[in-house]
Amino acid sequence: MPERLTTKNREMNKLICILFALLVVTVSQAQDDDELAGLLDEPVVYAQKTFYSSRIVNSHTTESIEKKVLDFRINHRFGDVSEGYDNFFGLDNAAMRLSFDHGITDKITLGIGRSTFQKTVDGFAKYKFLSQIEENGNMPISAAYIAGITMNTEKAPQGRTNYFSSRIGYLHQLVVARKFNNGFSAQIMPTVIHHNLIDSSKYNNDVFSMGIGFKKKILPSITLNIEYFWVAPNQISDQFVDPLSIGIDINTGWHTFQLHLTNATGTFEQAAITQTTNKWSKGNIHFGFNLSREFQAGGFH
Amino acid sequence: MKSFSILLGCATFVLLSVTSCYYDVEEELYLGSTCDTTNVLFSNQVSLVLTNRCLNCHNSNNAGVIGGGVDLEGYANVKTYVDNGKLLSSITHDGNASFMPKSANNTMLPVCDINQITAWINAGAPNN
Repeated sequence: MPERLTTKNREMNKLICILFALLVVTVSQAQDDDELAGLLDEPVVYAQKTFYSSRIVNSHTTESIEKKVLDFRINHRFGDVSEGYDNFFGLDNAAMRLSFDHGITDKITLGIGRSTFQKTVDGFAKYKFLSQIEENGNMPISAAYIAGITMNTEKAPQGRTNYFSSRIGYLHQLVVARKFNNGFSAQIMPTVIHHNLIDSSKYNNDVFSMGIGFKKKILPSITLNIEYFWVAPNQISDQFVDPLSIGIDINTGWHTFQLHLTNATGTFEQAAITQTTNKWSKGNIHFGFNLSREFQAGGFH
Repeated sequence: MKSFSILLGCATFVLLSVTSCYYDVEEELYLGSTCDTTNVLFSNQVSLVLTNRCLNCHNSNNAGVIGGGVDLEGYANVKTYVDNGKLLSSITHDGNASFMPKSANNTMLPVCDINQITAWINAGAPNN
């Protein structure tokens, strides 16, 4: 039986963790100074609705859930549109994710979800540590850090020793967004995904990727959204491709409807970024929607 | 506010450093374990695949509703679809039967599952 975790890997891992923690501390301190400066004269005006929702399609945005608000989300991806009339352009089949995101404070969101994709349960913590300031302050961007964990709950193969750790995966993601004007916002999402167990030593347990996302307002309550993740080469099997999603958000106050076309059927990061098999170039795209309904939770204001 | 930020930063650090990452590789962790297609039992390997991947839709209660009328619950029902060739056709996607399993991305069963079921069918699909 080979060594399951080498000392070198453990040190490397700690280093990454420390770097993330330092980043969070230093940047949040910097913001406190800005807030202090703002108090002395005019009130600070923060950028609102950089994105309409806490997700573009699959990826997080910098938007956090307000304190004491519970966001119930249903993410639904139908089958392949290229199946044609036999399967009603994919609508006969579906993959979905149910989730609850809760605003602990206006900056901190905790979420939990369950997906049909590999019967995965996932949880995340999101900390919006920078808020873009439009007036009476100096902060050109919003930024959030997301740490997530996933657990595959499928039955394990028989006839071998299975480890609980093999079911687990981790996510670290930094989302940096800027609202350029009322109609246009953009963000980048450097992302590290870790799988505790991979198929072959040809691939990596740690997968690095970079995402980009855009929002363009096309009507007062409707925006066009695009999201794309580039996965650095030679990290995962050739059968997996980069996910590209194009959709619209329809905002009606407490509800947000997101309709989109995507080649990714998993709606959490591990699935969408590192396990998407369908190609836009072959027409293997999927119609999908996210439904978000926010509730007041933990008492009324 | 500042002290809260520091507290949160520290909490993040602790949380991240105590959770355990492993760097396991399946082909190294299970060295020498290849797909065993000898002695495939209906009660073991075949039933596991059926339970995990087929019976959600193709059970006796749901077969008529979402399983296209195909009931794979129990040996007798499975044997029917072994004998008419549709079980093997559907999981090998050879075009002679509606391909299975249906999912959002329609990926086939793992190669080892298909090989084991094929081996079991070639051995006469015994009720063992």
